[in-house]
Amino acid sequence: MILSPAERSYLYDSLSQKPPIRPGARSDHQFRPLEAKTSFLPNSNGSARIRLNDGSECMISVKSKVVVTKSVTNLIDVDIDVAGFRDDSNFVSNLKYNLTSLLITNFPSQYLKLTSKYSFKLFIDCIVISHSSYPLSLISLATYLALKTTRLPLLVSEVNDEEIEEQPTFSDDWDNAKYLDEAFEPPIFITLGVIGTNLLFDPSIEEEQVLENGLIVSFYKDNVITPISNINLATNSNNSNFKGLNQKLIIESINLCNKYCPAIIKALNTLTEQDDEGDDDHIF
Amino acid sequence: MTTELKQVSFPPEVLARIVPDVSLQRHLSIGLRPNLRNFLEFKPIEIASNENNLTTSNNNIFGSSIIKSGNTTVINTITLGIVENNANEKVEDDVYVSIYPVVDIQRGRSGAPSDEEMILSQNLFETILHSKLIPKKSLNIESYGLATNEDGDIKIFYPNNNETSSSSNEYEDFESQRKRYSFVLFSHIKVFSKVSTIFDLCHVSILEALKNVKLPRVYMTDFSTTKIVMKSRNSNTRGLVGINKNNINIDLNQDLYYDLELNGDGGVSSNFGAITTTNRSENEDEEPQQQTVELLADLEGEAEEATILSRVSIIVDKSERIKRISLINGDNNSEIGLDLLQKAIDVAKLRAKNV
Amino acid sequence: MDRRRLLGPLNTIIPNIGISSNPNDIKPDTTIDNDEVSANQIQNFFLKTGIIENANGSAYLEVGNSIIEVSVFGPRPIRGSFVDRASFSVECKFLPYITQPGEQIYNTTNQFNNGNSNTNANGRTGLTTIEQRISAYVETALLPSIILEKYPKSTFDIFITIISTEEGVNNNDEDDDNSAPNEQLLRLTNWIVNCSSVALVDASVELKDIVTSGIVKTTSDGKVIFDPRSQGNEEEEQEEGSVIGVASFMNLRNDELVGIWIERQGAINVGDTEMNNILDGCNEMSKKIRANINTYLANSLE
Repeated sequence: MILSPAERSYLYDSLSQKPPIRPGARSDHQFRPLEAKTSFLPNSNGSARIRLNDGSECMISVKSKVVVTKSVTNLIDVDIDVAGFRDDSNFVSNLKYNLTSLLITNFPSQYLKLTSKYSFKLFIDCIVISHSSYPLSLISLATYLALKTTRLPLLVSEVNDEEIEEQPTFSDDWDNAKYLDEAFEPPIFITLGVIGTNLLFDPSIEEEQVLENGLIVSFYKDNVITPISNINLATNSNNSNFKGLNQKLIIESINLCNKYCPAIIKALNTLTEQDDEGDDDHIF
Repeated sequence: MTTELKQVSFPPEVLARIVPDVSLQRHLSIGLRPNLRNFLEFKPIEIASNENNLTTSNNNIFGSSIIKSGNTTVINTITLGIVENNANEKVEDDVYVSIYPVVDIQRGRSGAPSDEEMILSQNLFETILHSKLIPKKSLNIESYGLATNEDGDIKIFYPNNNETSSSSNEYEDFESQRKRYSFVLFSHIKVFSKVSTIFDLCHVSILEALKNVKLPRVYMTDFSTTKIVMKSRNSNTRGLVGINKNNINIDLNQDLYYDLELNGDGGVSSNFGAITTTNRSENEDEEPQQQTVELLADLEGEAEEATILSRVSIIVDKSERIKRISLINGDNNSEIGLDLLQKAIDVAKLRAKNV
Repeated sequence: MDRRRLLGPLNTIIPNIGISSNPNDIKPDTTIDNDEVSANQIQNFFLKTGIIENANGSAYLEVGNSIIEVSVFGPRPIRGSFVDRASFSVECKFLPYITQPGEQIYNTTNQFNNGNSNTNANGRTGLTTIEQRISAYVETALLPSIILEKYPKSTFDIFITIISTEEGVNNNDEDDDNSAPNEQLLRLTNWIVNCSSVALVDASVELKDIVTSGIVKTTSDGKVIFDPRSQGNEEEEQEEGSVIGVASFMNLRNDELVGIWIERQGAINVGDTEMNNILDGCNEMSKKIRANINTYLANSLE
């Protein structure tokens, strides 16, 4: 939806208030409400689907494959498909770069190690069925849920194959499959909008059009980590408010994320636990 | 009431854009071309020394050249591919192959190659092929090595310089079932700041790059297991873990690199255009004016490109043999006849000898 | 099959770049003696503008072994409906023979090679993921500096060509840790931004300020290294906890931060002081580069 000049001006003024007045009466650190469902794809090791109330929807499937550790360069492969965008477009490529970079540098690869020779390789496939605002944090939250609920088949053969040539053999009983790690909380991305001296979590499509800049911050194990970068969240360069920012805001954004992101992680964890207990088979 | 129509005068560079043909004629009438060269003067070409950084700092480049002419820069890099030979095919002495060029002109547009780039690539391919420059034999891979992996220590053995006798048996087995391969040459030609036809420049750049091509030895790796069967207990289903890595490798040992043998020098490409000029005599009253068809060498710039439609391109080698002539008489008023063609060939021969 | 490019016979195999059979062949030692390079010294760079005749503006930059060429095309008219501001796009491309930093990680599923590195690079069509990432950074960093309102119904396109990189060498060492390509990528991006800004000036585009950037690495023991350089193959035991960041500024507009990209190896939190060190360091370096560029531009006016 493209705003008229009057609407833009109104929205800009209200968002630059201290504290900002956001559409939908959200506070500056509040995410939009989301619905999610996990482990619903029977053929995937892990899956998740997230829907926002504006109709944005994203689905993730995590599949695994046994590889000879030495023959691959990385144990995680990410592919993103966004409806309406070409796979080689700048938009999709950058989503993919960011997510790959986040997972490759921060994913504890010891969880995937089977024996001294073999490892699991994870293939994370994301489909963004529909989106209005920049979908990176949506994808990343869905990836969190999918990885959190990913179960890998139990290895029943010997772990030590350094002396005896041993091929990994797995248990057929799916009930024996193990989670990556009970305590594992995958890294996530948070998008922040910058307007005046305000920082807005999870900006909506309308807000993106009047923002002065955008930040992407990653968060893992109760702390802000890298990559950290800035981005023009509006999809075309036609946002006339876009400008540089004060470097103090970067520090502030880190502090805000350190303060509020644990709550997001907690909410996502609660969601997976409830999903485990729930016996309804409806996706939504 | 009369309005006086003021005469408008334009500075030369503006005139050249509005009426390129008039501007060109004005220049020619005083015996000069818009680029200030003489009619049969070629634009100088600078060839960066063979020791440019590209080959030494990129392991995948086996020949390269950097050519400059005015502001136009052509960067040519040659990479290698390998193709399996037909088992029964015997390579004759007089079979020649070409190089596969891809021309990329910086022009501020992205997307698929333009017609110009495609035509240029095809032209270069055919020119090199028919000038019989690269004998197929010289790209043949006579023998290749075998890499063995002993405790992570990779050693490469070649049939003619086996150092250890223990591995020779292994090598013979390998030798008996070998396939025949030969190299394929690829060339990537990046053109910056294109201001005129660049066939000649690209041609020079390919020849220069080919001259310093050094071919490496290749070796096979067969220790990488290609398929591993995964079993699941109490189940008949089997999964395969495939490792699809091609096993032909290039040995980076510079001591084993050898020169690519070329047949002849490939020649020098020169282009000419013909245009009718009106010689204005010193005395303004003297009529009639004399019209002659002039030959211009090495066309350059907007005015010449747009106005001169009769063109000829000639490739002559050092021994004065004509390798290729392409002639288009696009302008009925200024055709390249036999006399002009002869003149062009003479100039091209002279240039080929002296370059 | 590609009918637009000559890519050789269909059954062509692109061989792997293997190892050398010569035991004496070791990679040239590019290690820089850190004692010789003082912590605040910026690499010498060579800059030249206006070398591309058919572009509106251009700049050429050599630093170390990296060669960057930037052409600016615009303002060019656009077709279609009226827009009150110019649009702006950036396209960064490596010449096909160059091994892109981190391509084994990021360029795996590009449609043109299907994860298979053994295809003819000359047949590459679109941009790779890495090229797109650099393009996006440069676009984000330069966008605030251009006065787009002055050019209604037009477009500016920046085309960046990477002719050479510091480590053109194909890296087949699979145990290589994953942070080194990031570091190399950031170093390259830093110079691309600087070069592109100068190209915009050369194209006489109306700018609010010249964007310059800096790159800084901090180590776990709190050391701040300006303009970190390739450590060659003697990579100092990839210090866990070193952070590398590029930041771009408009120095005359109150040091407005226009671009930031920070990477680090391992999941370790980023602290306030560390962040301040990086941003301040980048700012300082960007000012030094700015001073150099100013001198160059002033001299070229004479």
